[in-house]
Amino acid sequence: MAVGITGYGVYIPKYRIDRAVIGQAWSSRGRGNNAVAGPDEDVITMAAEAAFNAVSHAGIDCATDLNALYFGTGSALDFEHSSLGVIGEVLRAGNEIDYADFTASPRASFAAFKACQDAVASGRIKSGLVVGAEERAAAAGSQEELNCGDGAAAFLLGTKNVIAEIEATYSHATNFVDRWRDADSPYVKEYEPRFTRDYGYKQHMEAAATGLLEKLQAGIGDFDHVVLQQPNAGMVKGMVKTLGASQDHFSHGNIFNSLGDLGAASAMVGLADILDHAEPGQRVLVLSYGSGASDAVSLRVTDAIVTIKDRSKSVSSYVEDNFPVEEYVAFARMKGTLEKQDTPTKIGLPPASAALWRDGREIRRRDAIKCTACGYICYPATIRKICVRCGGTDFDPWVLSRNGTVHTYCLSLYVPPPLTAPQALIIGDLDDGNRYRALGTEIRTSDDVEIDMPVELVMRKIVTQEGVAVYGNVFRPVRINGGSN
Amino acid sequence: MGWNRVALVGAGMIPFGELFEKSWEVMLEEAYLACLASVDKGMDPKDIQAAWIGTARPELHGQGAQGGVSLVGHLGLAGIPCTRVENGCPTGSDTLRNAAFGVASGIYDVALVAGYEKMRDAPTSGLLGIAVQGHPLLTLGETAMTMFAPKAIRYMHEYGLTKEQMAQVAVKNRKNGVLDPYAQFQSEITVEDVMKSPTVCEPLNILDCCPQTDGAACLLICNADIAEKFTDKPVYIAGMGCGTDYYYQHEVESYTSYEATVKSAKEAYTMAGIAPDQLDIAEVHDCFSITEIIDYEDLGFCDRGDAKHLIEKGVTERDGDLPVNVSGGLLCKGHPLGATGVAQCCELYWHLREEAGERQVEIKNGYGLQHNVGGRSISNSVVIILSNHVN
Repeated sequence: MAVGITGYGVYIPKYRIDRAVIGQAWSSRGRGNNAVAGPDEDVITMAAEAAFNAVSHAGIDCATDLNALYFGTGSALDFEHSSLGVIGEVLRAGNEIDYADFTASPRASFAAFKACQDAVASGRIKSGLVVGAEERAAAAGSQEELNCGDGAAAFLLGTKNVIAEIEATYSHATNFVDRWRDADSPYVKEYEPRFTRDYGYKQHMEAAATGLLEKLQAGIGDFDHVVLQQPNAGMVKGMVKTLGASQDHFSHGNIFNSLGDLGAASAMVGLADILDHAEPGQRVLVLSYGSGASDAVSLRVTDAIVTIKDRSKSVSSYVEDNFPVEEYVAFARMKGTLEKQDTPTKIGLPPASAALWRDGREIRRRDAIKCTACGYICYPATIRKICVRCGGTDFDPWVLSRNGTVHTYCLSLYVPPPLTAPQALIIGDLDDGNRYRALGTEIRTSDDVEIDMPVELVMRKIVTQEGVAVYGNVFRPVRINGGSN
Repeated sequence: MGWNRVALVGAGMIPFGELFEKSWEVMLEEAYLACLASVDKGMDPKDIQAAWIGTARPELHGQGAQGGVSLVGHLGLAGIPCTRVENGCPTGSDTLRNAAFGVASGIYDVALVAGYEKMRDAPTSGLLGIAVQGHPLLTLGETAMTMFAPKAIRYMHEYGLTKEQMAQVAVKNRKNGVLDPYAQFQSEITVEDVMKSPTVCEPLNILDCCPQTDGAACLLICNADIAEKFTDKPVYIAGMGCGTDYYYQHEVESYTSYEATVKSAKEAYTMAGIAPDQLDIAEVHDCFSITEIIDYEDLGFCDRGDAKHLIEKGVTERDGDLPVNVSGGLLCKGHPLGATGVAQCCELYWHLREEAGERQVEIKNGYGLQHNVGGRSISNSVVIILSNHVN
């Protein structure tokens, strides 16, 4: 049975910076926009939402039907600890799941893609999720700051209800140093951009494409769509010429201009945009690149794409739904290159503490319990052995709804650091009748929030302490209506 | 009810403010000496058999482990039993309530009640962090403002209260405080001042908020049967109540009332056997202007949604039918948590004895009410009703 994509989803943060705004700050030139992760976002939160969109698209129950989560990023948060379990909590996945991190290159996501494909093909797992995400730290005034965007994409691979079959893959890799990030610095460094372009990007992708086409005994004209790794506009333009591709190949999937260099998510978000528009029978050529390695993937779209494609939150809907960041200073604060000099208030419990381990999972999974005597829903389940309303001690399991409306709120202009003002706090009435309190996100002024406004619970990084990120549920004004989620 | 009646026979406090020059020990010592000096016929400190001390956030001045000796050890009273009380914003009033139990039970005849808070030894940013209690994933980002402001938003939505009407509470209390030498602020403000002051937490502006304050206050209480030994004008505890609501904000049902207040008020009114219309004066919890608005309804001063009429018609002005926060309230006098409730009872003590000077209100029925509400999710409340007669 052919292995292929059975569902997919992307996540693009809401904020955008016009490259001209960055250019103004440093007397450099830039056109187009980059997607910018909010202050409470990182690769894990973005990956979690893309993954959520993908499994919702496929309509699977992750507790039973998700066997693996393979994550690729060049923006790894920690060299010892993986936070993939947090994504599993958001998905309400079972504990038998196989988590694996692929990193050290923007091409890590396609390394993950191939590993997942092999795991499914071997029959070891039935269904696995591949997620690519990037949120590069970029030094102020650097070329990376001008071009890098933030985002994530997720593809569910399996053999049932396949919407795009994987026809073949081909890899070309050498020992080539173009960009690197050493352990002592958060920032990516580069030797010489034209060396990267001509001997890294161009040569490796050309070799991978040539190898794949030979393997398939096909020419570029046999493909309907081509999507490339998109580090900047010039490199993409040169590659189109090198491949002998036509403009028709690039009718969709061009994301650099609107979102920036998404690194490990670059070709994946582009592929998602192509799948948003693809017709049954069409063939797609994907070329990734990073750190002296290129993976070429050939996909054939199936009839199934017609039945389920409308259920996905499209790439274009994410592109269109945005808040422009008007000033460089605000952008620098969001990226962390400009930090307020103060002592962050510590939360009561260290992030790696037993208490956060004990209760964090249930809180993020929204696990509650329903009192059999009075029907009140107690939350979180772990801390409630006695119904707070009636004193009952007998409960049934309950999962809190993810959606609701604002019951009341406030917008605080003085918040304990490391939170940044203005910070909304929302008391929401969930659709299942329960109440939930959470910080608000993507609320800039009181114009962005009102009573009865629809909100949804999403997982965000609520604090980083001692280098460990703490993730929790926050309320967001419902983003992109009409999706399946 | 089978309890020994409890009388207040002494009341003393220090002027509240940013008291950078006074240590917490000195604040307590001065309040105690003022209290002792206020006893009409005098009191020998040796008569004090037990003491209770209230402080809510001693962590702010680096003294996280305050216990009973933290009071008596500094007042020359070492040796007698002393217990520290902590109950959020009602800490001071609950200290009196617990001391009263000691006397009402017959175990002690004379007891000292002290409350203090040293808030300005910590920077403002330190104060922001201390509101965090409970599980961080369920409470992170909370400050005092974020626990009160959502009620203001919901109340305004349901009952059409305007920000201007809310501001009138602050204007009234600042006006009252000008006559109170103990008040931190000694100047009047206008509705326009409140409206133009910087927003702290939508919909509250900085003049809708009480300041951060250092302060201490003391009361001396005794078995009513022996009160005449100390004074011919004792004030009595007519009723006391303490109520709680739910712990987490997501468990709280009402965002237009404080159910803890409703419960504590009901208990206190029942114990005193009176109705709200018999009160001559009330010192209620006005940490924010919205709090006093909601207090009016929770305490039964008016029906739900009618609080704005009370403030607009001047009913709660110093010369109105029910003067509220004649001392200036928390908004003007200040809110040193552990001292606040004790100081409110000092104010009632003076008015019920008709010795409040320029700000004296008319005493008709002889009842005054004290109220605090606060703590996690604003779910702790204490109400104490004092009277100038044994009811």
